[in-house]
Amino acid sequence: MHIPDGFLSPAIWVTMDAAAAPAAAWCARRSRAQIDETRVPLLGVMGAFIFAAQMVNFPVAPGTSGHIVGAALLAVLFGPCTAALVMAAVLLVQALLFQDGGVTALGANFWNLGMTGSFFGYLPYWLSLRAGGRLRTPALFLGGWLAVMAGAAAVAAELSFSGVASPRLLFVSLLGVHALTGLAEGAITVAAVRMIEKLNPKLAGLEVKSYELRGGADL
Amino acid sequence: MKARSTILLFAGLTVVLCAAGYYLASAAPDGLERIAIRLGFAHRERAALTGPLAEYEFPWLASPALRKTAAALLGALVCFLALLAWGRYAKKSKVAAP
Repeated sequence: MHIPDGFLSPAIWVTMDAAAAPAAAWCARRSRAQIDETRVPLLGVMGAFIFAAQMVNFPVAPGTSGHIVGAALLAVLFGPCTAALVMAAVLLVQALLFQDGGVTALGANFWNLGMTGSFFGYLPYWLSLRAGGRLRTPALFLGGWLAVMAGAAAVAAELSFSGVASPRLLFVSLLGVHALTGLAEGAITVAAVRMIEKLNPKLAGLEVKSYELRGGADL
Repeated sequence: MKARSTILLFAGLTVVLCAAGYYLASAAPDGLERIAIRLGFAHRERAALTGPLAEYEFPWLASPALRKTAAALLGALVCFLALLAWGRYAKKSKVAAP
């Protein structure tokens, strides 16, 4: 789902880049205030893990592959602001070292995968916590699916405004393909959180008073 | 709060993904690339910057599998170090704040 250079019109990528800078700064400020120092090594490892996992494309339809985004998982572990920052670091490394995702499209990719992915990915989990932890597993799954779908919708909107194809075709095609990728994302989010809970229940906020709620509601 | 087992698990998974990615990853285009081809705007793609490890290949090795693995491990290491540095900075500035 990484937009390469050339797909977006200059007006769109400049706007997205300009909007990404204050968004990243806001996330950095929130993340700095909330950061739990004992989680710093985990933060680094999860960033490396998301980078590695995004490299492994899996088949989602005949002739089409997809990869996980990981924003929902990060948001559950660290809160959406820190998750967006981790995604920003991964996107920077991918664009600058590996030419995966455009340099001019970095702002758009940050909005699509980082901001949209993290906040939409976190929303169902946050609602579940607010409801006393009910429907937690479906909320985790929905968060993973929603992170991918919301990101795909954002990509479709940016490409539509760039005039590369008909908006209807872009939305139908991108949401159609990513609805399938989102199922894998949801399943992986649930599996990863379950695995983490087994190893260390406090890390995934198994208790209803999660890390994020203790640090102040973030939405 | 100790998180050593979780850290070890995900560090191990990262190394496995980096090493096995070459063999496991689908070569088919991803959703956006596929749609760009189908809707006829794939030709608009052009790199604004040539990445030193483009295509996730470490160019100074001969074996294709090793090229991919080395590039992947390097990328994961850079992500890890960048986020560790951010976390340390955040921790320090939090402590320093009144």
